[in-house]
Amino acid sequence: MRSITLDRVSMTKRGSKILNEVSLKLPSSKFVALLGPSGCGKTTLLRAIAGFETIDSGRIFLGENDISHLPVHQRSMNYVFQDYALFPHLTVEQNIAYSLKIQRRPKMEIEQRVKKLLKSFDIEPLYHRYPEELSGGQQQRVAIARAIIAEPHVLLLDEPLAALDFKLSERMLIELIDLQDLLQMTFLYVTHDQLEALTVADLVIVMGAGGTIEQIGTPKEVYEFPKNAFVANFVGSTNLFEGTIEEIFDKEVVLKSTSNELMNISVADKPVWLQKNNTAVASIRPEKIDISKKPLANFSNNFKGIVTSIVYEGMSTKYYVRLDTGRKIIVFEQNEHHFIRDEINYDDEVYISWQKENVVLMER
Amino acid sequence: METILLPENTSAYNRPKNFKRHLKKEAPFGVGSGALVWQFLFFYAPLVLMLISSFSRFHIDGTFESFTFAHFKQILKIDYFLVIFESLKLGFTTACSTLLLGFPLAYTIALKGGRFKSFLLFLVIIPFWTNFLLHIYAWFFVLEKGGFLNQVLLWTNLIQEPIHFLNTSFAVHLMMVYYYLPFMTLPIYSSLEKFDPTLIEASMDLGATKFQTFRRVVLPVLMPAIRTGFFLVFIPAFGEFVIPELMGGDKFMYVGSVVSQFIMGEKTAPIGIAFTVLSGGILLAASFLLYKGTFALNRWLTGGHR
Repeated sequence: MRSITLDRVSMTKRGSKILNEVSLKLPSSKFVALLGPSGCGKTTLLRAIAGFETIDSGRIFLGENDISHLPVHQRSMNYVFQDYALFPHLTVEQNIAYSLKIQRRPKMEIEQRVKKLLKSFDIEPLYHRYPEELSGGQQQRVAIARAIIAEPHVLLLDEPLAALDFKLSERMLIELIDLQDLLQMTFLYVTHDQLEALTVADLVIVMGAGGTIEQIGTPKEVYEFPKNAFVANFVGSTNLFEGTIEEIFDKEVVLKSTSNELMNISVADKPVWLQKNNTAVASIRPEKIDISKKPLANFSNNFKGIVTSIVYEGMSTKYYVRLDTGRKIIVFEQNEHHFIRDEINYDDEVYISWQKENVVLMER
Repeated sequence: METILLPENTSAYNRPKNFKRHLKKEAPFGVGSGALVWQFLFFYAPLVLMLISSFSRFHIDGTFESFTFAHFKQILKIDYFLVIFESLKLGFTTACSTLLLGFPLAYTIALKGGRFKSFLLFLVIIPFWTNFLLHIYAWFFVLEKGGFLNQVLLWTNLIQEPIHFLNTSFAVHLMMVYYYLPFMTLPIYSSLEKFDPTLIEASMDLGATKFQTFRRVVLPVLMPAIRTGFFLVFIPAFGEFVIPELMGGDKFMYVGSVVSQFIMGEKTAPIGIAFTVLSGGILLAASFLLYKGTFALNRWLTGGHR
């Protein structure tokens, strides 16, 4: 299976840059998620790869071949549209067989391959129905079956689960993972939902506003070691502290935030920008903070504050704490017990603590 | 404490699954009955009367005498069948020509019209605002020997001698297409308006060329509208009376002219009625075949199987 390489792909629409020198190499036979906020150009990038949009400069490769200027129908990739775009005048069976019919495959072969897919997608009894007679989830399956029957090198998926309800999209997500595992095709999956991206992907590409790539990495890398404040903030939620470097030790620095908290942060290496009095941003994830009504021992960062609001989410609870310095912090706690010994309430004075190893320091 | 009563069955959320069928069941029959009575009194009843009188002989005073095939015998001649055939041909060529012109027109307006869409559509409809006879007389000035068209052709040296356009089959067909074009354009336009362009992208993505996409997706999806437009043109064009009379002089005989001659003639009205019944029957049969043909065409377009 061949994969996609982008080389400084740029695109401008009505004077504004949609894609800004995007370069990346997709590993082949992997599930790749392209994650970004609405309007960041991720769908445009996907459409450019499929050939629906013409790029202004740069090159797109499939394997070794430059496909930048190849018409859509000659690129061996297939696209799953957000609203499925099933042909309304064709039955399920005819929809799925479409690309094979275009290729003028023998009738026997088409029939066999369609039948096989109908079976593996669990839509066999629907083969004679028209798209309007199908539910959203069924349409989704037909759309994916139609896109993979010709065995493309790459499957491009444009927010395919956006139109489904939560339970169904969760199930389809797992089916998609299994499918990718089975087919060993490269899946490029566009989504704005960070949870979806982290769940499905072997590799996550985070795109920022303005059509630039902010970070490429495994879900864990992107979540635990965001490269910049944008990624830290967009993937999951976090507490960001802007400030200046007060002190640099061997494997540790001290950051003084704009609201005057002093924070100890572990650093593995020392990039060039890490200099005393330089500005930097620190990020600490809400679930990595401990909260208690009594002071906690053995933590490298300790603060005191007042609980301003509590969001109970069943499995977990989110506390919004205002520090003495005035800064607001989000803390996330698992609800591990039915009965909590020392329940935290609104306006309670609380101690919050975190370890210096759990803080990520980024260039400002 | 106030109790808030939520009405059941209020919103779209409670819509039954098959809303259309539900509407069909619930909508009062009375809504359409007025039109139905009208239709019956002034359309179906006369139609039946016409059918009966085409098989009847009447006294001088207008009372019924006996059933007869005599009127039909008068018209079972090759010449009359040729007239019907010519009319079918006229209807068919008009429908096909308006399709060939109307489809690109509707396509351009619907997909490339942008913000001028409504205005362009308005331009298609505007000719209906002026009297139809006025159009025909205007066309006389265009087509006559010293007319606009001949002048242009002479001036561009395409011809050396002015051509007789009036009273030719060309003039009849030109006028037919001119008049019937909107009937074809409008249904196709409204269908194109609803056409989802991602279907084209999906087809190309699945390996189809532009032509294959047009053949296998665009045309079949628009086929219901094309079918509507086709019969909206074909059926009235078959019976068209005014245009062949005025543009063709007395050179061309179509169903409309024959009927009018019989009805106006002395004592020949029943023959005219019989001819109407005969031509109507043939039109019905031809329409049925063409209707079936559009489905066969669609199956062929989508590379039919099953």
